[in-house]
Amino acid sequence: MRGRNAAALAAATVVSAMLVAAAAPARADLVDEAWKRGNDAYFRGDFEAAVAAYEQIDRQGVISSDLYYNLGAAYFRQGSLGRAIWSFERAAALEPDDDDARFNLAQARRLADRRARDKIEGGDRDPFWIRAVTALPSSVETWLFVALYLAAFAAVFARRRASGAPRVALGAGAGILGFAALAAGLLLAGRATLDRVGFGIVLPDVVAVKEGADPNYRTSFELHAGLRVRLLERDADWLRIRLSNGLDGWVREQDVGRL
Amino acid sequence: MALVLASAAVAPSSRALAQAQAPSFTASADPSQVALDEAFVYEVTLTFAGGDLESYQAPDFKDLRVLSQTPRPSSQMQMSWGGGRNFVQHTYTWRYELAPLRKGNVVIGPARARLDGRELRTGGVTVSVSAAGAAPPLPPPASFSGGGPGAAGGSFLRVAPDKVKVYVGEQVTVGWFLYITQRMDKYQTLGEPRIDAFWTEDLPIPNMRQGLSLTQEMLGGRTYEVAPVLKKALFPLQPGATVIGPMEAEIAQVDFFGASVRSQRVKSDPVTIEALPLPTAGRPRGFDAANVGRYSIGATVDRATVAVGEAVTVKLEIRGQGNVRNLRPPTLGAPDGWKLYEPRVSVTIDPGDIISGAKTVEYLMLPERVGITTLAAFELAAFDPQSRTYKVERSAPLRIEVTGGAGVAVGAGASAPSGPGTRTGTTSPRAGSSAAPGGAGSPGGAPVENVLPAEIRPIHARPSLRRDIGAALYRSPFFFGVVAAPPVAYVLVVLVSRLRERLGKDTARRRRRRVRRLVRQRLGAAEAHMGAGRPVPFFIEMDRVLRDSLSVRLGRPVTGLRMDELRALLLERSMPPELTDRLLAELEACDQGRFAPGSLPVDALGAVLDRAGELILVVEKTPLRDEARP
Repeated sequence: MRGRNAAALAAATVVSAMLVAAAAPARADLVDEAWKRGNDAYFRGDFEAAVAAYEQIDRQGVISSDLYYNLGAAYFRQGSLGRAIWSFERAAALEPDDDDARFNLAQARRLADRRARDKIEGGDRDPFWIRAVTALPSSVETWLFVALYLAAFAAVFARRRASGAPRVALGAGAGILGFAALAAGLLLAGRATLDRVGFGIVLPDVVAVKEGADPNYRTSFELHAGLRVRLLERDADWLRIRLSNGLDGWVREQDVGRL
Repeated sequence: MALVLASAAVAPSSRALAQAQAPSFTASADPSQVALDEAFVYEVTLTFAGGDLESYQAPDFKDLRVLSQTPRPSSQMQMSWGGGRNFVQHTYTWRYELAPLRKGNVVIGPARARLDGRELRTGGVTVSVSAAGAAPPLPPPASFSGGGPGAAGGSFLRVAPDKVKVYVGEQVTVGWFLYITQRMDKYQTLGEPRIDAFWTEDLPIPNMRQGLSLTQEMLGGRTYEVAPVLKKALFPLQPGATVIGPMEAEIAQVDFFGASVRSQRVKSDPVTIEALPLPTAGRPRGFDAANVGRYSIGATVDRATVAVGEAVTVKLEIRGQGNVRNLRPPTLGAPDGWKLYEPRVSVTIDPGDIISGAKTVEYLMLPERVGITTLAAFELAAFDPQSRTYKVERSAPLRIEVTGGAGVAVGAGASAPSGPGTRTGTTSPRAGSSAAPGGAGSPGGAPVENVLPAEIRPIHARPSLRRDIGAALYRSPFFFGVVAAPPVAYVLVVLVSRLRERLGKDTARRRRRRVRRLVRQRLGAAEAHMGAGRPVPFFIEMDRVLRDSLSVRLGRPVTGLRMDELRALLLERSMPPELTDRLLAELEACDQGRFAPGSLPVDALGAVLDRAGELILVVEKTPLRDEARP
């Protein structure tokens, strides 16, 4: 019995350590310093310095809706509406209940539409699996999976020590929790698939979509800042994108911000 | 009559491309003769195919003042395909606007570039600076002149520029034509002409994809089938004579099986185009050397009245004939009280051999306060090579009224009939529209208009950055550790418990192993006593080893049992009687040796040792009743 407890304790310790390590990939002091520097620059109207500071944090792999929100605001003040929309979209995706992010996103989109608007004829909705995967924020999906998964294994461990009716109940509970964890895991796997291809936002005011992954190919059509496109594949520094109506083409990777 | 050649493929050969890959690094000044108070453009052009530009060093502009320079070189890339490979030619152009600081000949030293470890240098450029500028002589009217065959007979490629003497920036249309005297089934371009120091636009040849379209032409008293194979519009970028290299192609007949027979290589002659510098006389201020052609300019705004915070789009369109893609349109400065975003520039080229089209610049502007803004006319200075004069085209000024209220009616494009104004817009506040503290509802005062433009909400200025751990977690490699730890721990728990169970069982094999180990120890100790001539300790050890082995075998201690009790126990557990007798006899011999040490000779001890060892082994192998009973 002592051995079982020790193994379960060791597993819990490992999981906790992993969670802590995953949560803080970048040095907190450097991140907070850049965060403060960006906010100070924004308030004194130096939006270029604010963008530089926020982008520095972004490059360190920090995922934060506040970071994306402020970065979007700084881009907006610079007049980079495509990048502002992209950042506000990222903030809203992380925190769908963030009213500020949704408001600013709408403002940026409204202003971008004044410049130019892409009307997609015959546009269709996203496939069902994409809508299912993106129905919940990624953090909710992650925590749901982790909680269900660990609970299922806790039930399995407890079942080994139990006997009689509790043992049966714990077995059934472990099965139900495992099934739920599997469903949450599938959502996460879909999310990871979307991360690899997924969606992007057109960043420049106007971008020429080529027939192939080279600037010398003929321009098929043009897109404007803020349009959401699906990313299909990558060839060197080119991305193949597809619109909601099935039209597709190639753009430079730097012209599309991944969501 | 038109005849279509099958399998026409326009692709340069590797050899010809290798020739084309030699980098060209040139410098030029336009114009090369200026007055002391005039500016001129100095351009450095690097053309190469393959490799990386590692560094660039501008020349020493001694005796010159740099008025402006492009922060980055303009770049062009041309891609062609041949032999299953892509060939990409890059052209970088660095442009400087310079003004001389002294009269006389000013020599601009070489620019340097490093390309794939190779150091390249341009030649020096001399600019003649005088006290007053003078226009260069005008060229004679250009006539259609052509390259052509060295001899009238056989097949050949002919190059035909529509003119050979033009101004810098003026279009030269050059066509390459294939002349054949007999049927040819296959045409392949081996090497496109090398064209440096020109801005190049490819011109379409109708039905080229289906093959070459042949027409008949008489030349030197002989009838040829003629087909255009390449057509380009060239715009010289610098003054001086520039040679357009030869074009090379292969033509062949194809046999029944599709193999080429009677193939023949044809090559055009090089042709020299002389580019004249643009005249300095009459050159308007702000003229850009890229603006050569005949253009008109117009400006519109998408709404004449707009509320504060609502954007308007000012659209500037320059339409005309010339190098539209390279045209430098006038710029719009941010008018007072407006926020101006980066313009969106688009170019449309009309079909045809003479390059024409439109360049459109769209500015998005956001009013920040109430008032009336007048955007001054846009001005475009261009040199018209046909009339050989400079012309300045102007758009109409634009008037935009900015109000504070929402729901402003959107009007069509608006322009004011007034004449050209200043380049920057002027804003005049509307009467009574300025905000004044305490003005709202004040008796006799104008109502205060508090304008709240469409804005974004403020940033989230928390003291430290709040991270989204969940979203970071599933992207992290540690996530796999979180997923793997519980099942690994479970498997370890199962394995460890099974191992413990297995180790806890007292099997016959384990018991035998234990007895053997014990017996080995005791027999070793007895042997040591025997060797030392100590019979009493020897027999004590022998008695102990026999009893211990029986205790282990029977699963209970036999140390305190008398001989009759031990016999009864052994027989009860199905020990064979003969073996029982031998065991008891040996135990009695040990008792005798312990208590009457002189009764046995010392040399008999070895026989006791051997017998005891043999007995222990036999006892171990003998099956007993109630074997598993502890």
